Amino acid sequence: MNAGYGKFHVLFDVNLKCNRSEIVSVIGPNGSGKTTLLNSIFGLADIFSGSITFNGVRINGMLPHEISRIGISYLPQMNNVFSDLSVEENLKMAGYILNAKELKDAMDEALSIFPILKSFLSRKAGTLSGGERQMLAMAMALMRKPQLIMLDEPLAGLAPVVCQKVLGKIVELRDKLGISVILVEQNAKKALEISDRTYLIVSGRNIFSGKPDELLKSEELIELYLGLKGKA
Amino acid sequence: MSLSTLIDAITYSSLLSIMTFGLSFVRRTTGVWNIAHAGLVTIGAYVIFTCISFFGGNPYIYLPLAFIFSAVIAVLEYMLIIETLRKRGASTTIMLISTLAFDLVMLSIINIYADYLQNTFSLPSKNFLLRKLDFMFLNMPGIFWTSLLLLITFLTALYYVLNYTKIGTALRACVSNPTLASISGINVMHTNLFSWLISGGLAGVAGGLLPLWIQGKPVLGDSLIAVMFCVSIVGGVEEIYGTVLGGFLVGFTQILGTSALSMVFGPSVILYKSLIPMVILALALLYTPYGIAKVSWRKILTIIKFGGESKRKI
Repeated sequence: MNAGYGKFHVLFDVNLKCNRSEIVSVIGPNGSGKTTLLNSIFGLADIFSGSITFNGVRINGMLPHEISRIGISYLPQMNNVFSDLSVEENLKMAGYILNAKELKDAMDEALSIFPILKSFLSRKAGTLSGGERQMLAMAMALMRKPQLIMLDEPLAGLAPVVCQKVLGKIVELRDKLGISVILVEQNAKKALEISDRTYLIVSGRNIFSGKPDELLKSEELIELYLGLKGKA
Repeated sequence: MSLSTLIDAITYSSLLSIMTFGLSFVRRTTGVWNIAHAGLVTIGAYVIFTCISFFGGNPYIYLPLAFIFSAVIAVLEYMLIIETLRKRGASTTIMLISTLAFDLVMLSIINIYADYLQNTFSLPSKNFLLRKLDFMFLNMPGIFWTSLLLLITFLTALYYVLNYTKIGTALRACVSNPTLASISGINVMHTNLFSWLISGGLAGVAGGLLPLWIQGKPVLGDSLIAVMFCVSIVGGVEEIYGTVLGGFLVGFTQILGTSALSMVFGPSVILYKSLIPMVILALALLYTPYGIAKVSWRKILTIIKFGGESKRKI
């Protein structure tokens, strides 16, 4: 796929595949096009050539609200909750396409996975801490019972303890709910720990794709692009 | 202050609030200052005038028609101009200018229509006042009761819709974060359309009521657009109910201020009454740039109570 914004070309012949119940991480330095990749899949960027298929259906050109209805959820890095709405309203809006019964069931399930949210349902999302906000955003992404969740840097700005909790929840999504996850993460070490497969993108191009262990064996790549030498 | 001045102030403030609400609302939902809002107000006035002229009866019964006409034109404006420009990546400045162009087109069409009514049917379509058709209740004109009741009903309905219905919460979600709303499965264009429909309809209703109080003419809306902008900015665009605060502040100051000044300087002051909203706007931009709805009254009270902290930002 080739994609970008208007005349600005960001991704060059990028190829990515995610199987059922699999965590695929996309790592790479700042400005390499990781977020653009997710935006392209969700109809938020311009696709110049190539195709995106989900369950065998081509989704190029579909609008974001249409894509969200076919089983894909996207959790953006920034502004991933409605700050002016209460936590409960945020969850309701995340399940906008569901009927009343489905909405209630989805809320119960999301709250059982993120029980911490129960204690501040009436609080405005803008008043939550970074970790709480990320939990809410993940709960929102789950509301539509997606088959695929795309997470854009869910660990950004979180304390180490909270990072571990969020990573645990991501693994839970795969293992307990059978959801596929595309995880874009700046914190490569953490992302590789829980990934089944990984892609390294640099300057909008695929540099590596394969198992995390294989990437970690390539000292040149991890030193050049991930700064993980000696830490792996 | 006489009772009639107070009635005038309340009527004017209520009409200003209803009229301006749409201007602020579409600014919040779609980021566009719709100058053609002025034309939508005028269309409401001409719908009522046409119905009264050809079918007779009470002007109030034609208000739903004024709502529908202006709402349909607002929706068409959004679909044909704003959405088309947005898809082509136009900036909000370009969109603002396009609404000005659309307003000029509407103004021309309204002028042609008024000329047609005047030349073909000998109707006073360039200057008309429908006060004589208004009713009286408790010695006060119907326009006073109607505008006030309409404002209260509208605010109550709006509060209910925004807080207790799915479409209302979706509308707030779209205002708060349109990209996330879209990601969540909300069709942002539909909620935008809804806001343009309501805004246009309310402009039409306010325009339909205006000739019961002031002279109707092809530039009716355009003569008020500067005051509407003033109300919107003074009240605070970011606060949905700020328009009402702005409407009452500007309306009361304009009516009562002119009345008070005319007693001191003579009736010639009335000619310059449109300066009052501009002075309020200048003061608002200097001291409460985000509108009076965003003012921290608690801080002001603290400053008044304890003094010496006047430098603290309000």
